[in-house]
Amino acid sequence: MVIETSIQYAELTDIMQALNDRGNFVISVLTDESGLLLASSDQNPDTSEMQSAVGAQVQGLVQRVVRHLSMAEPEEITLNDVEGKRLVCRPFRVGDATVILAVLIPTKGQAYRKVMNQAIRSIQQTWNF
Amino acid sequence: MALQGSLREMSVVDLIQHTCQDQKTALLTINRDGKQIQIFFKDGTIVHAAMGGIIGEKPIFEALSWEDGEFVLEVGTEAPIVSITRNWSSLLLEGAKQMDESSSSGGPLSPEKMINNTLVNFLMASKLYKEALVMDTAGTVMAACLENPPDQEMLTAIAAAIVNLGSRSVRLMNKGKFDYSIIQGENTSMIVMMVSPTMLIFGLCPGKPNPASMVEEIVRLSAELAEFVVSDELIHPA
Repeated sequence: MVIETSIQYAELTDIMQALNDRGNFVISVLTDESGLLLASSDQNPDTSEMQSAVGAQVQGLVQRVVRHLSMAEPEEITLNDVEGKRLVCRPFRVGDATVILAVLIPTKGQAYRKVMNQAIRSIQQTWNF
Repeated sequence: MALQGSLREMSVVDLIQHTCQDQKTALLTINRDGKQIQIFFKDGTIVHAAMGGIIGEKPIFEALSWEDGEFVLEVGTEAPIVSITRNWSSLLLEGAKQMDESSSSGGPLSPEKMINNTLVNFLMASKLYKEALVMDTAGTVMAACLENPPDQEMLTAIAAAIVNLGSRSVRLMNKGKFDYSIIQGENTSMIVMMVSPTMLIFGLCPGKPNPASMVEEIVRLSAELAEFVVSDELIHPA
């Protein structure tokens, strides 16, 4: 069981690195709902922890929005700065859990949906393995 | 040292004239019907005015139309920023001119009414947005067009939370300035966009429109609200 889990985490890290390379993102992270870092494209723990914390804060806000506005579970949340940098968070289900894939996109107009969709499918397959 | 009283005893014009002629540095706070206008003077010159998130000359013109209300003049209080550069006599003349024009056209048009008109016109022309509100970062609503008005308090709380989170997150990640946030679900999408560091727009669309189109439309509203904020603080200058 321990071996299976470690293989899973290693695969998730590979998926994050592939996503980051293909999308030309600054960083890509996968967290659980509470912000616990599951995998990151960046080996610097400070950067990864910081972005996972932001992702979890976003998810916390989303829960409030969903509860108050009777909105269906949001599929995507973006935070944009004035220079065009974007943090895109995609919450999705894997088994009984909700996890958050978050990427930091450096330039305005840069495509991200296709590569994120592919990464989500890969994560779901790895999780169900 | 503070001087206080009623506008029935001393008009806004008199207060401004006396403060400027005495070359004082002071804060004049006027309250009427739950609204508050602050006018800052520096060495006898008006340098800043604010009413909620609206800053610059507009709050002065609004104050000049108030015939009743309570005022407090605190000498020695410095302005946090400079949002007005026109001299005080020219401001009073412009205010008098605006009051003449508004009385001949059927009544004064306050900045809040002007923002509300801008918002209504935007929603009527919009292909995507059905509801929206304009508020300041302290949570005060300047104008709102909502299908269910009791939602207003909850929506402003959510908008304030999104701005707070957005600003903190952007600062944490790259030290930039927060611009806007979009949350998309299957049946509703929302955007919170900063017009200036103190004013923001919250827009709601049914369904899941293209985010770029959401931004394109709301930037137009942001540009139309530009006259209510200091130009060099605009996030989306025209």
